[in-house]
Amino acid sequence: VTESRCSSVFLYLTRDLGGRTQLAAALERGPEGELWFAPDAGRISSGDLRGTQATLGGLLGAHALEGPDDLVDVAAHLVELPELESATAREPSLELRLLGLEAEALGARWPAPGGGAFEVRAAPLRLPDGRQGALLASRGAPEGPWLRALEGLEPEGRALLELLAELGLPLVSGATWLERWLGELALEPGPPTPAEVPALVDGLRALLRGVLRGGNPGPQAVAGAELAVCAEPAGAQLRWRFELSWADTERAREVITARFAAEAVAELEAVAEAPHQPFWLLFFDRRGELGSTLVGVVELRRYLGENLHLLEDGRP
Amino acid sequence: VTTMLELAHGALRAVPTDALSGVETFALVRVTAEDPRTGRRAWVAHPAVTRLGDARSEWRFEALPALVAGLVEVRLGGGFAGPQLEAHVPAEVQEQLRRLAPRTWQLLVQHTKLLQRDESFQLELRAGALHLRFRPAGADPAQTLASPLLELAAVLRAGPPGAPQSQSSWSAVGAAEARALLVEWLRARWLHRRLPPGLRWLAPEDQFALRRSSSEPRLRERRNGDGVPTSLELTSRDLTAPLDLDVAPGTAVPFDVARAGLGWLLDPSRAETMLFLDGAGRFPRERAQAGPGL
Repeated sequence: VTESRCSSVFLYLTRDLGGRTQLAAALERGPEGELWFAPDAGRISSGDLRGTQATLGGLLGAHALEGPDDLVDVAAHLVELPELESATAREPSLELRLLGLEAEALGARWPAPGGGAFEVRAAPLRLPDGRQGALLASRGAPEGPWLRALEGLEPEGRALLELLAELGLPLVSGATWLERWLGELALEPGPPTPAEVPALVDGLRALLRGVLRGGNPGPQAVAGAELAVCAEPAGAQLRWRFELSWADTERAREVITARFAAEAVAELEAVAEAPHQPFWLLFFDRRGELGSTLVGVVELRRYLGENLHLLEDGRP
Repeated sequence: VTTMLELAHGALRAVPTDALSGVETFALVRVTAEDPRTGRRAWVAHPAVTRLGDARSEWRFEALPALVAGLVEVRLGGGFAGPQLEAHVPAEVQEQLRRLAPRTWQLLVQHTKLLQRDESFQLELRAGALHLRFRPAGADPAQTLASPLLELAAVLRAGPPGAPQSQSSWSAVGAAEARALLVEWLRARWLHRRLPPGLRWLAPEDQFALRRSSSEPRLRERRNGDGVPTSLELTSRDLTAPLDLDVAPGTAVPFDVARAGLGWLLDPSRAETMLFLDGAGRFPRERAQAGPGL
């Protein structure tokens, strides 16, 4: 059986804030190259669903995967069972694409229902044309919203995600970068006091949000301190400066991040509330001499459907 | 001379008439005469041709009791030299004749050489058990076929499979879950070729399971050299020993017939107790050249 005559199942895996593996998208490429998305209840008749408590959408959409068995179970639901009339052995391939997730030890072959075996291959998802990216899980995803950097994202891009985390799109569970920094300042002698930290964090976040949305908010006074946030181009990147000044003390922190398009941030904030499209891709493009720039957001399944030939062809 | 009476596939019609019973059984028939010395065949001329359209087809819509009585009378009137009479009746029409026109059926049985028209598989549910019979084309007696697959489906239609002999009974929940697993497996493997969401594939154990269950029934299939599942091993927390179930479709049973039979047995909304199928698993019907549109 040649590979072209066998179907391939693509599972796009990521990990939520709690460390659980999540299925971000699943699709099947049939023997003729036709694409099927899952969940797609239309592939299975209603008679098939009768008497069962799970729906196909419930099975495949936003499905927490505990181990390799769960992955093979999902894949087994996507491929056709073998025809009974012909005795050809099947070797459907199971392609795991990892989105900000390390490859785990996973056997290379697993039994498939009805005979034959799955050839399992795992690789990180790499965007074509040297683009970099990140994954956004919207409110519709488990524990959403959250962000996760894809493999290959440069440190500046990662630093920009850290700032986006301040807008309520966390990268990790626990304290954000601003909370950690101000928490450290509160432990040192002088202002701020630990009680003032939440108000200061909120004040800095409001200013940060203003800058990320393309504005230029002036300094603001919160809890006896003057706060300022500004972003200046620094070569190919952006240099952010966060300032806190009291009557006799001044604290500041600088961060270098990738550039961003203000429309992309606005779009990102909007789709983070999407209830029905759980996963989105953030794109970082290189624009001429400028370093990588956050340029836009695309729904993950739509992107995969339109670009699978670019993403998957020419792979071993 | 041999006279052949052929009845078309499909349904007989009970048409209201002025006959004593109030209804007359009509059928689509074709009457042919064959001369054994010359081997020549001819459509028997019939006075019933009234419309030009009728003359274009060899099939005629006839009041069956009168036609059969007439043919039998000619046969008896001619003695041994008289024409031999053959009746080629599809199995599903034979079944209807028994019910709708018992006297005509008696005449056919007693006075004609009754033959099966085209091959036919007859699936019948009697007291919850499946009886599968095959009639080859042109033969008279039906052969009984064994199909463990369809017999299991008939058992599942009525309820859970029986407990193994080593165990006197099993819990209602465990039995119901085992039945659900078997039904889903039959549907997935034979009808849809897709696993339904309610089934879980346990790759390390090479087993099928229910996604949600309390007794955790599991199925492992054993296949023959052609990849066709021939038996299942059912395990469950409610069973002390694995239950072996034969699911071979049966040697003489075409896969299409097995599939059509499963579609019928596993669908609780299909209430008929008898099913006739041709070799391709379809309800037998007359080919396109069958004649006038009725």
